[in-house]
Amino acid sequence: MEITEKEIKHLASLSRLNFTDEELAKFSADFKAILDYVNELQKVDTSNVKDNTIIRAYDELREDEVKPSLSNEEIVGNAPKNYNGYFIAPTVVE
Amino acid sequence: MEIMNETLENISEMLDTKKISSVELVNESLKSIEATKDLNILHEVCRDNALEMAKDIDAKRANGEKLSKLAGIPIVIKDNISMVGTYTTCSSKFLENYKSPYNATVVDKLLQAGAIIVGKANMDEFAMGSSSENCAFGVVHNPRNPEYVPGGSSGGSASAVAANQCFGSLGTDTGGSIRQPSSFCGVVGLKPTYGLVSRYGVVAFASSLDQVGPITKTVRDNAIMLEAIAGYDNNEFTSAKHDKESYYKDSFKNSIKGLKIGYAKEFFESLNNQDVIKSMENAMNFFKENGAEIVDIELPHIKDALAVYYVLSSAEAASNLARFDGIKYGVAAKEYNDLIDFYFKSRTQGFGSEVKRRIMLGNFVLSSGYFDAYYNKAKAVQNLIITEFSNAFKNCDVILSPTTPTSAFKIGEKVNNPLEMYLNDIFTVPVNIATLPAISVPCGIAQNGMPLGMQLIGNRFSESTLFNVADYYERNCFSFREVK
Repeated sequence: MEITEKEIKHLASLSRLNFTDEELAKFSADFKAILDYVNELQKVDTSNVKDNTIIRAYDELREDEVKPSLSNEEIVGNAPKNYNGYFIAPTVVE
Repeated sequence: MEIMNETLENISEMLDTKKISSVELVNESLKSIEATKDLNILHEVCRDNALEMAKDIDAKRANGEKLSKLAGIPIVIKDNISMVGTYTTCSSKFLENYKSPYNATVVDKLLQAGAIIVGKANMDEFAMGSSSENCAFGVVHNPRNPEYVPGGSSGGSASAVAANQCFGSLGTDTGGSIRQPSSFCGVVGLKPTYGLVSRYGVVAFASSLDQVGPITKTVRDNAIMLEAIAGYDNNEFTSAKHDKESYYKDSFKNSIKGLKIGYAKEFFESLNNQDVIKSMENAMNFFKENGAEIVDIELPHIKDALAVYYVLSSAEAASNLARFDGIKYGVAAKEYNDLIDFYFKSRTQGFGSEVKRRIMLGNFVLSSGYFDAYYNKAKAVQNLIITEFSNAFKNCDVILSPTTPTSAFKIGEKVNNPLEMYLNDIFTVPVNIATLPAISVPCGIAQNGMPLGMQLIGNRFSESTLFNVADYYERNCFSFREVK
């Protein structure tokens, strides 16, 4: 499976990442090598695997109880910009 | 600083019999940290807090309070583990100024046990890497020889133990990130069974694979630390309801008679490093001479585990790192056109190149048109691997392999070839894919003077068996004391 530069640019856009042309060239080469390696998986016969979900992630879920958590100040305090307990995001609507 | 050469087990005894105080010990630890600071092992040293806690522990001991084995002992934690009052940077520029408002469960457990957290260790950014060179705050150097990498991603945690800065540390292991650096630094590292140790408060890389575990000088030290951090946590929904075990008291039988050690040729046929081949032969002979039986087992699909790993871990990483938007915490772009541009610029500025590569790979395998061919295919192969391990453990107690295909490599040697770097994890990754526990113990010295590691893999929740076999090997064949 070949991946085109156009596809890589699209992926970068989905990933919300910018690359310079130089970075993109280096990146495309690395990416192709990694994909070639990962493509070996296509050769594995998995026709006998009926259920892809045999790994249970959890034993059981706990009750959803209301209880004290972190304060608003503690949560918002790490935001690069915050005001009065709110996160400040760039303007979306003019 | 001679005292820093001691094992955690011996130090605990010395504290208990008041041969040394915790304050003295923390001061020795701080001195050792200062003396080895050029290795760039720690991102942050918790000097004042550590000394205060040590005073508190000494007072409790003077009052005759019954204290745990970890009480008063200097410990280091990896910088992706949240601790109030410290930075939790994940060695990323993105989180350079991030301070968690809450403690990870493992931190709470260490503090309850009276452990003194003296520092936070550098790592590969967001735990992605095998050399601790992908660190936004500089490369970590291997204490055995600073020209070499310490391995990764928990390279700082393993180095802190090897450099005698502390008596034990916590790392995280998604594909080998505890075992590989432990092997490269000549110390003992355990990746526990998935679900045994809580990840609450540990910054997620690939949630279905991540696990926290201890790095120590000896196997017994490791058992002491695992006992303190294991256990169910209802803050984490993948936490296992496994009965509490006394690993330190109950694991060590001082015998391996009748033990069945699985030998899978798939772990050995690709080896071409003579040092590693020799060390494995020695280990195998030792086990046979001491009453264990070597049993042939088949794991035909472990050769595909690394590809499975890169698909699944990157997919999960891309999802986990989507929350880094520059608004809630971390880097925020100063100049931008609109909200979308703000996301682009903040993320581009904040993440290093390896992290970007994984996000891209993850979004690729998750994108429509490729999801079945990559993600679903990888999950199916994961199932094959799990079934093979589970069949293998019907015929053996533990499985032996090298931890890594070679000893440590030099700084800069593999930095331009990501795929070659990934191949370092070829023997450790299958363990995470199959949710199993595994321990790496020192097993020899390579021609380049760097330590070698051997991996013992167990069935789910068989940590005490691993401890027993590894301890027997360490006491009677090879230990960290032979690594210089």
